[in-house]
Amino acid sequence: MSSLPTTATAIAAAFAGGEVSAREIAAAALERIAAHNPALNAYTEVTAERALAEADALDAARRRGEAAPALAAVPYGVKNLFDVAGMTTLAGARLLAGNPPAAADATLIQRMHSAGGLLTGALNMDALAYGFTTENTHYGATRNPHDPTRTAGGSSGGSGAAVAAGLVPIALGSDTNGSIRVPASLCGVFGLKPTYGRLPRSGSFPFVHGLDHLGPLAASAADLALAYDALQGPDGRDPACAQRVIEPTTDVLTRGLDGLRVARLAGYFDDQAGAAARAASERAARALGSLGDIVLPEVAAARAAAFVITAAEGGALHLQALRDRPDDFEPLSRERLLAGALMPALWVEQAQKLRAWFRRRTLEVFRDVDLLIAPATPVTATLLGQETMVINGRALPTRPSMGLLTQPISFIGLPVAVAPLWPGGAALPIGVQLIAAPWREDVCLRAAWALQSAGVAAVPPAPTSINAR
Amino acid sequence: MSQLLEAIDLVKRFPVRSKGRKKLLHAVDGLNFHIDAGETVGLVGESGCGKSTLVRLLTRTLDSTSGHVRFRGQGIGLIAARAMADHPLRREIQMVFQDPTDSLNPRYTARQTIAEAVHLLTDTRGWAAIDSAVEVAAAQVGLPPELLDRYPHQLSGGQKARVGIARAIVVKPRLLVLDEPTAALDVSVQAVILQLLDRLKREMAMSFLFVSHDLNVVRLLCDRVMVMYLGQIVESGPAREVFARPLHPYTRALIASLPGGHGNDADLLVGGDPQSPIDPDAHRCRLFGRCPRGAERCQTQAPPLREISRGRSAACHFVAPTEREVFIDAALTVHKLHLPPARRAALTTEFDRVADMARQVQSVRLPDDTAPAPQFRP
Ligand SMILES: Nc1ncnc2c1ncn2[C@@H]1O[C@H](COP(=O)(O)OP(=O)(O)OP(=O)(O)O)[C@@H](O)[C@H]1O
Ligand code: SF4
Ligand SMILES: [Mg+2]
Repeated sequence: MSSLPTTATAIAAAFAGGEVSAREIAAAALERIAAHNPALNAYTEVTAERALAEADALDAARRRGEAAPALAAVPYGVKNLFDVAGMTTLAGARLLAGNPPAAADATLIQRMHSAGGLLTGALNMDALAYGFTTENTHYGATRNPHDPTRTAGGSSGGSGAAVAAGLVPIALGSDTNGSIRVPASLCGVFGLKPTYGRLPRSGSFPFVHGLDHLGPLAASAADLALAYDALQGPDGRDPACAQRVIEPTTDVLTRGLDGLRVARLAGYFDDQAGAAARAASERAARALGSLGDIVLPEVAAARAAAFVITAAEGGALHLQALRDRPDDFEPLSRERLLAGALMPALWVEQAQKLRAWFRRRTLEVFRDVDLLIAPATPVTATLLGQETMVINGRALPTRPSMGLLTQPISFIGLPVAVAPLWPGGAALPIGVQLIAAPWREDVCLRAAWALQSAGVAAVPPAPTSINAR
Repeated sequence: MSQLLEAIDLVKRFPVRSKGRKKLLHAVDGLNFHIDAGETVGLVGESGCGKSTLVRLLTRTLDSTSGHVRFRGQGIGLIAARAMADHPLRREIQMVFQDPTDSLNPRYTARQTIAEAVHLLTDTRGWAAIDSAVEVAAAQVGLPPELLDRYPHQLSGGQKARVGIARAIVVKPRLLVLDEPTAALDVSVQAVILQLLDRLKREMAMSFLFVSHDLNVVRLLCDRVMVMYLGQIVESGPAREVFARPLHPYTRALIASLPGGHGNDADLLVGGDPQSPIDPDAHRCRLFGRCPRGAERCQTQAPPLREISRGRSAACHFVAPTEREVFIDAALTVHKLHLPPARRAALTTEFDRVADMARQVQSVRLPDDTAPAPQFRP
């Protein structure tokens, strides 16, 4: 069993080469989940039957001599805000637990299915995706595989933990203000938040329409690109989806950074970063041949504007339920949603204007630079229940502050990959954001691959499976 | 700071007979408040306003008529007063009583009194271990070891007060409730005991609830103060701010009447009779009749306790809340939302956070022609 491949790329190749059956892969993944999930609480539901059925179908197709698709026999999980046919879409919220089961899979799950993926289950998250720690009062906290007393990050915490623990090589998450990038950073895996409008969100539970992104987390840079390529394509149901043709990245991944101009984000991104985070961004900058530091204007205000828009839209979305069923809300975010619903429209209008201005100013930077580097989180994983964290001598509330460095970037929709670093051989990882111009996910992924090939970024063997042996 | 204790709509009514009829005396009438971990809260108000009744509800020596008390997130209102003797929470909330003479067993030495608390409420066993706990507590309250083997009648008032405090802190409670801890003492001794309490407050990781009708005590010792009148909280806020700028007419009167105070005579209560706590009129402000600012409206409408500014609340029609409170209340009304006080307070905190963010956004001067625009053209 230990000889089975662990990355998506290797699994798909082994299956295509006839070395292993999809059923064997599925059974091994389900076995890992059964063994390690109780300690992690990454999964809220395991879809064992479905994974095995999908595996059997692949094995049958191979027997018929059909070509194996790109992600053939690759087990994956999805944040529980994706519709899975036959299951109630929880979005981490007891509020939604009584809803009828979804009639069909989310668009991205349909694409994973067509690409040969094996769906192993739904993954834990902060209620309604409002949070950065996956401390879910109703469904329990997800634990960090590198230290179970610590947060896995959030809101896609189950996705980060499942990949970091080696349960699956790929998981899908969502990112409104950092919810893919924060868990990728704190769990030490790769993650991609594509350009706003790239991947369709149809069939997923929304939070803030103008900020919601979906994307993959993965065990290697190549796995990340493989998943991303399978997920691309136009869609008629998500009005924000940009309907671009598929622009494959897997082929260009290994091209290195030749011809790409790299800079590091300083100013705000240093001020709001602890020592480990700064060390990580400097290390990545050196490894990628950064030309120097760049300071963006008014980043703190941009982050504040993202906060305002999030609270306003999230609050508006849930106002009726806040009125009717307040007790079913997560107490950690209920009154923040309510405050958002009640705020003056003026504040939202000003935030939207600032967003247009900040986007214009930031896009100017990409005339001279192709890739920007910044830390993904201010600190490494904090303890579960920890109320405050200290950044450069300032005590800040943990839960909202974990997104300080991701929020300004997703605010203007830029594509970002996160690569996990381990500064000074530390026991806890911290990620760097690799940020490119709109629609240039290829640049983000090439940088992630370059960091991994240089040995700067890595997803080490799963700590839980080490412990178990 | 995390909440240690929370009272929600707490009510105590005593059945009484008046002119041969059954009536209800509203001793504690719908209190909402909290005490944070490590916080020292003062409770002031004139004799009979319900302070001791509230203390007995919190220490579970009296059953409430309705409402809840939560301690460390756990409801304790449901623990019947009778069952409290055996409950683990009994150690976590300790009392220091008003009269040290009354509250000490005359046949116990100081050592025995303190040791009994250790024996009854903690897991410490064995003579040596208990005795060393007793001596540590005695040292903390400044009681010389040679006095430990004396009986109450051989101790001064101040020394007896120290024994009462040592008995409470020896079990390391999370909340220490002191009901008029210095009222029975000579003025000269009062000051010394207050100094002792001030030191304990700084040295021990405990929360304190000081009950007193002496404003000076509260001013000296407390982070936050709650002012009670006829069973209700009429004002609360950070002690320094409340004393520097009292909002409610009753608080203003209390401060104006302090000896040597520089209060304004116009703030003093006027001559009328206080209202009775028995079956009070629910549609009338309890202070009406004695209030120097009372008006028509105060007779027909009882003012609710509302947040006036960050951390400060008052219950008076004529204390105007800040614009933010007016705004939040109006927005809640428009959206047909009714929030219990604890959620209303949490909402204010979150609203302040969003407001801070909006201020940061507003601090950026944008070119006049800036307009919101969609994210990107594909
Ligand atoms: N057991 C009881 N039965 C009937 N009424 C009671 C009882 N205990 C208290 N009361 C009444 O409840 C009201 C509040 O009394 P409480 O002892 O709580 O006041 P207090 O604020 O502690 O006064 P003081 O400052 O004099 O100690 C008073 O009107 C009192 O007469
Ligand atoms: S509401 Fe009226 S009677 Fe009551 S305190 Fe205010 S002014 Fe005085
Ligand atoms: Mg009393």
